[in-house]
Amino acid sequence: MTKTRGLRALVSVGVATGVIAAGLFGAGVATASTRPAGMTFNGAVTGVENPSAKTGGTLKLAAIGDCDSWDPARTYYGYCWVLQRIFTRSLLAYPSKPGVAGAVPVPDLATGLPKYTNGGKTVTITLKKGQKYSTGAVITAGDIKYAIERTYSDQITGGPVSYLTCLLDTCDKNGLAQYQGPYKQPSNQPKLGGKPSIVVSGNTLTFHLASPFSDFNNLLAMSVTAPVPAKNDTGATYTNHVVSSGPFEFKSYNATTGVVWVRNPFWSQAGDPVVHPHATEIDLNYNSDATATDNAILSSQVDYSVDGGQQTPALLTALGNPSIKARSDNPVTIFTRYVAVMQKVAPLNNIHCRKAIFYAINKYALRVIRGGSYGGQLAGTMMNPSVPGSNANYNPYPDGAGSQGNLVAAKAELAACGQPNGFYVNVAYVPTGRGLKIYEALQSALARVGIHTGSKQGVAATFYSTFIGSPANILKQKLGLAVVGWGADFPSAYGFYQSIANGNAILPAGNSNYVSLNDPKINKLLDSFEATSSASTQAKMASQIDHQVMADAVYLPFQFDKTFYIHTSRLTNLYLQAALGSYYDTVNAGVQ
Amino acid sequence: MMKSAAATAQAVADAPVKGRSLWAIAWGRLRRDKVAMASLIFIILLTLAAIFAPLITKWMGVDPTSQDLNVLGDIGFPKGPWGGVSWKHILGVEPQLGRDIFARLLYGARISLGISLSATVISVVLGVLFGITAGFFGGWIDAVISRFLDVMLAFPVLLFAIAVLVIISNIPHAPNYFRIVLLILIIGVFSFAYPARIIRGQTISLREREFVEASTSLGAGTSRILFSELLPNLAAPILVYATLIIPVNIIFEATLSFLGVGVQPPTPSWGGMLADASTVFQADPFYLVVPAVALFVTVLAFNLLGDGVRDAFDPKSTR
Repeated sequence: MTKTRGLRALVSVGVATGVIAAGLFGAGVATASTRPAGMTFNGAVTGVENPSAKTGGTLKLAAIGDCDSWDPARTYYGYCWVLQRIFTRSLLAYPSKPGVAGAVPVPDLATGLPKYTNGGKTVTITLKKGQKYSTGAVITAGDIKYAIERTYSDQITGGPVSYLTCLLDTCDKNGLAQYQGPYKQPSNQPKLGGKPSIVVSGNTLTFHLASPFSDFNNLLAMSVTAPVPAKNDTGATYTNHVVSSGPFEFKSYNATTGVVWVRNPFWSQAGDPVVHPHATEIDLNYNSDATATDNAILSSQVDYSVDGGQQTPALLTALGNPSIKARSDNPVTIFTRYVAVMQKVAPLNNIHCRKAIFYAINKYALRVIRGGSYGGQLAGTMMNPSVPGSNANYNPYPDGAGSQGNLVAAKAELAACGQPNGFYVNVAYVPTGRGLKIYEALQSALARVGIHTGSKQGVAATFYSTFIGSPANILKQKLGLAVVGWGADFPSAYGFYQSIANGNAILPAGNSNYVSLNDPKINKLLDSFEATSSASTQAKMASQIDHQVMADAVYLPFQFDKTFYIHTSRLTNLYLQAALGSYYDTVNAGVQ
Repeated sequence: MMKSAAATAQAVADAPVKGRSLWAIAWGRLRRDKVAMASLIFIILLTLAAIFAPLITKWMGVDPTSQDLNVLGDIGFPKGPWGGVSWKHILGVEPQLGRDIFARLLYGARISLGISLSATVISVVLGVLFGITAGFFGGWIDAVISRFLDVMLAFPVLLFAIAVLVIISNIPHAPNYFRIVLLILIIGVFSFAYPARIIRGQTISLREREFVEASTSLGAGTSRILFSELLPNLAAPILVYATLIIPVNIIFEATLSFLGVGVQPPTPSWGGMLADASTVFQADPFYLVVPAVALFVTVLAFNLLGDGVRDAFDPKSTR
């Protein structure tokens, strides 16, 4: 009797366990589907996937959190610049083309490319007639002048405005402009030598520059120069109700839950040669749980993430499943990932202590966490391969066997800086996603030579603005190291290095020159870069700047980022905008 | 022949009968309980392993922080089956970081056992203090303490613990040991109400006994009665409930670590390992199985031991 009961019980337990196990493991298999037509791995890197003229439908997109700002003059996140194309247009724009073809600005709101005269110091450009905002008002040349003028206000911070500031106004020796912006000085305007630097005549704008700037077309393609109607401008709160000049407008915006864009009825395709929207609505939802987003994309409930790729478990799923791999892309981006070594925090003020970290770091381990060879290309120098004049093979601090670090050289540098047994240093990081593991890997690598790390966690919302973006806070909290990424604001050595390496770019908040680098050699090269019009001279200067930055041992690069994206198979007209960071160009995407 | 048998019988009749104390009787019963003994042996071995974790891991050539990247594939998952199990890494390695799981399990045991045992000591000390006071004095003292215990029992402990620990995270210079002390205090303070009630009940039933009356009539003061008469008789229930509170506290600490508010990485903890492993479960299931089994077996061992101890002191108590 007992034996039979026992056996039956055993069998039922076995069956139950089997069912549960099958359910748990089967969940991973359920995402397999038939191979999507017209899609291949890396299809969106080199071409446009599923080109189609069909319009209609709603894109369902995800991001970890809100953009730093929707105000076109106040955003600095790479993916937010791509999203700006949804609802803003500028005089020039990057074409909707993959690869290098999408990296040279073409006319958008302008009738043609600008004309340069007077040794490159006078720029003339004409606005197209009859382009309209989402309010129905006509876009005027005065609106573009106003958009640039408001960047001089202290309410409009956080965007790449510094390129224009001293180009169009008289700055003092500390780089501070005289013009204070239209809110404080409504009857004033930016002036050079007492004369207005932005002159509007009908639909024509004339810019008078303080010095020639060979990348000025790239500046005109930035959302910083997108038109803003003065009567709708509310200064620091404009981000909550941006007036659209592009094919979509804001229907709703909530800083914690997301954005919904719908078509701007006053935009017409006839007047827009750059973008070809297909969807009628775009839903962007925020979810701080990156794993949940990855799973939603795998099960085709979310089309793609706008702010970066999927994490390693999803990558593994894609590599093992051909139909998912076919709807994935793995571009090399414009971003270099590196450790900022704060030279103002002891004992990092001694260059040999800094170099000890350069040799002790384990670049291979850090890359493994970011996805291995799918996550990045190991780097020995800062300047990204997408920058003209770069040399990706330059490595002044050899990485050791397997790029896991050169501990002998590290110990020699420790001895040279008087800390043969190592020292203590704080690491600033945000513990979400991979941030915590990157910290642990860094900690483990440096511990090999006795450099012990303390954990200083920040939050994503303020990390770049006031945590490591404030030189005073770095000193106060003794933040010694921070793992960060950086991409050129536009494809040139000046666009790559100006904000992070020029002494005159150090800001009290929102600072990108985290280490407060102020090397006269570098300052001089950068200050004279844009006045040089010869491409070959610029390439030589780019190399010199890069070598000097590396010699100063403040920025320790470990990889050029690659992103692994997975997207759904129902998308059409999908490609990656390479010049702006290899994100999907959402404004053009459609659904079947 | 007859002489030795008679002599033996006489020897047996003459030998005095030795009385055995409660502890000796209980220990005798416990020794015969195979399940409880097995649990006790496991707990002793685990505690020794936790205490000698640095020596054991050094002898095996592993440690909880070094990364062994050669065992990981290109995108960070262990190359072999079973999560990278090998002679060197007997429980495999962590994905992406390549740290030895066995070493992290042992060091994590220090955290789990250390924090929960310390918290249990606090819990028992507070429980005895409040329980004896409420039970012995009665009246308004009992009323006040009992209501206080009711509040403690009704408190949303997990929410409170999370809130306090998140606030601690935001203090710029708080070191890890400060966090550990706070964890011990929170867990200890929020679990003393249960033993306090038990002790109070036991005290109430004991204070009416004759030996207390005898002590009072001999002129013994309150504190002498409490500490010399009542406390020794409460030792049995105190021991039983202490053993049963420990697994509750282990789970509590593991929950806090799982939620990310316990000890901070890279300090290994079983809850932290569970949290990390659950994100890569489909790619490397063994990484989840190891801390889950460790936690399950440890909690089970303490529970079985607690049951065994309770049975040893009072075999008539019903389950």
